[in-house]
Amino acid sequence: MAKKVSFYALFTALALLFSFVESLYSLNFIAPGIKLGLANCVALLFVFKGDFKGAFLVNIARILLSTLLFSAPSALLFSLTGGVLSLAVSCLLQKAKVFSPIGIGAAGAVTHNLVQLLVAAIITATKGVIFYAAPLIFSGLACGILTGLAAGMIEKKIKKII
Amino acid sequence: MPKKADIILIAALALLAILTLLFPLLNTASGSEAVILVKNNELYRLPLEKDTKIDLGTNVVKIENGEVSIESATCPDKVCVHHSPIKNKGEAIICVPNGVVVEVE
Repeated sequence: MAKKVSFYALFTALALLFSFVESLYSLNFIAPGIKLGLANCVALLFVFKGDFKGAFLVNIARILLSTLLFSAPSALLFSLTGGVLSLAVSCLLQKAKVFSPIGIGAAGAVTHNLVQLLVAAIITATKGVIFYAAPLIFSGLACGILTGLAAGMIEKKIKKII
Repeated sequence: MPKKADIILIAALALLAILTLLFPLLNTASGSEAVILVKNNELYRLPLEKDTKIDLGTNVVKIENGEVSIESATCPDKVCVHHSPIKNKGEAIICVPNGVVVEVE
């Protein structure tokens, strides 16, 4: 049990580190809040391995910690809903077995962005947010393909260790 | 690595993105009023024809030349400030951190 805790804690810390790195720069010129999603890469490792519970554990723990450490608690609703739902979509696609890490990464990223857009629309009670949908989907596709590809390649290499 | 299913999925999402770009095109009626809401409470309803500036404390809203924009804000990313001025019905500039919404009706 202790081994399991420290195992997942290690990866949570890694994801937290990625989160920190992402907080150092801003891609806001593309669309507000755009990130590369490197921290989610870590959870994707578990998704591709088939350990969905582990993926959720690492992601949720990382989101809670990074929001408290590097952001404001007010952003928690956005981060948590986006992260959880996008991971759920990633797990479903992985289970379907017809998608490769690239498609799963892309779908996860786009889901994350659209969910956050929806939350923003609800919180501000504005329909105008739809103008951000296109750049969010395109950058989601671009970043998602990259992170999916990276996580897929890494998972293959460290399969034997984890 | 990409499989057929991936290509279809990505193409479908890209198509979705392009479709959402069509929405603004359906919307070119010039607006007459700027409505300012803070945390979902309507605080101001101003005609676009009159140049004016409203200081909300966290954001400063400016109406000039029939367009409304946010001149300055206390939020960290300043997305609302960088947004180009709006004047068509249904357009909006939103400052999520401060809960400020500027809409044209």
